Amino acid sequence: MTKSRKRRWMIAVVASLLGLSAAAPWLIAECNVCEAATTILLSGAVVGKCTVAVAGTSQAVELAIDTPGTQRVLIGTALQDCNGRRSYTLAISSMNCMTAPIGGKVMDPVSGEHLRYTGEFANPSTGGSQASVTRLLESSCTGQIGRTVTSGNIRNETSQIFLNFTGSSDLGAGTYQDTVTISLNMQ
Amino acid sequence: MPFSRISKKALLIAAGLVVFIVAGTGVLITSDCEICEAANQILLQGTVAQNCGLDAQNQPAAASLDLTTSGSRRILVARVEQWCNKKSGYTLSIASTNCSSGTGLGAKLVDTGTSGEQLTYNVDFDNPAASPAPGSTDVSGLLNGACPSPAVGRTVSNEKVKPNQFTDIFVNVTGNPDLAAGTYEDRLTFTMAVTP
Repeated sequence: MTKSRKRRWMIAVVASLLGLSAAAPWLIAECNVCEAATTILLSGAVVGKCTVAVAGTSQAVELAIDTPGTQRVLIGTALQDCNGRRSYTLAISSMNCMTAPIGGKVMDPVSGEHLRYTGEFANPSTGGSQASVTRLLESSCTGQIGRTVTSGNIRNETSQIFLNFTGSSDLGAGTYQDTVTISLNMQ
Repeated sequence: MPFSRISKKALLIAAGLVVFIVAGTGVLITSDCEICEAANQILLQGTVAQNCGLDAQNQPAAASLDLTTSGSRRILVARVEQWCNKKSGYTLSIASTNCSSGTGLGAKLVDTGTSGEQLTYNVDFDNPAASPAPGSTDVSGLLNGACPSPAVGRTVSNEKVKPNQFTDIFVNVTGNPDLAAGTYEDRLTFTMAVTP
């Protein structure tokens, strides 16, 4: 390779590093037939993003567990927002679930007494979502999916999360707790 | 200056490089925030208030004790109902107003008049059997020549006690035909102490 060719190589590389838009006019001025260089690639990337923000209700921390009878209590909301057609699932898990008997339950760590519950999701029907998903955490602790979105464009949609349980006046005095976690999983 | 073959090739390679870098950067940014979770936990909580209590029901014999017929007798003087939803349990104890007064320690009936005479006694707790209620062993001879505080007659641990459970309270007296005429009294107090 001659010295001048070497230099042209170096110029071309430097030009590409400076940027395509800057390099194109400079090269056009230097040549006669340069159709290839007249097309300019325009490209931009949008960050793929799905967010979930969970908020607990005041009722979640004052469950009337010693009032006899079946109860359905709104314990929280999960606000979902995706900037494209994304497939995802919303799952619920419970901190106490694996403690025998397996399943969702609020527990008093002092006495060891517990009261069982099941989770329920009320969903917008976008993206093939089931409007109501019940019996979550009833007998299994993993793969508890409250919402499945397969093709929808989800923008600021809220799923409601309910707790179903049967209160009992036989419960011993104490404070009964559990913590549930809502996770968004991309497919 | 003519645009040489090598320059053209160099330009294409350079352009390709730029495209590759842009595409690569895009993938990198996308994988950066596929899922963005804010606070995603909910605390669940319910409280059950403590409900523990007792109710002492006097028996008729308590107010008409036979003190002068010779011999020892065991008399039902009260039934104490208890309930407690605290699983840690409780103790039920008894105290006698005259225990530390009069002559000598221990439960005693004392003449309310001027004779100063007295008749000692002691107390038995007949506690509920184990089934279906939580069982406690019977305790006898409470306040016999001593005034412990508390004088525990029933101990419940690691069990909840529902209403309608009764401990029967008996007093053991030995009649004394020589007692001076008068009204002899004492007062029993029952206390439930819930285990923290």
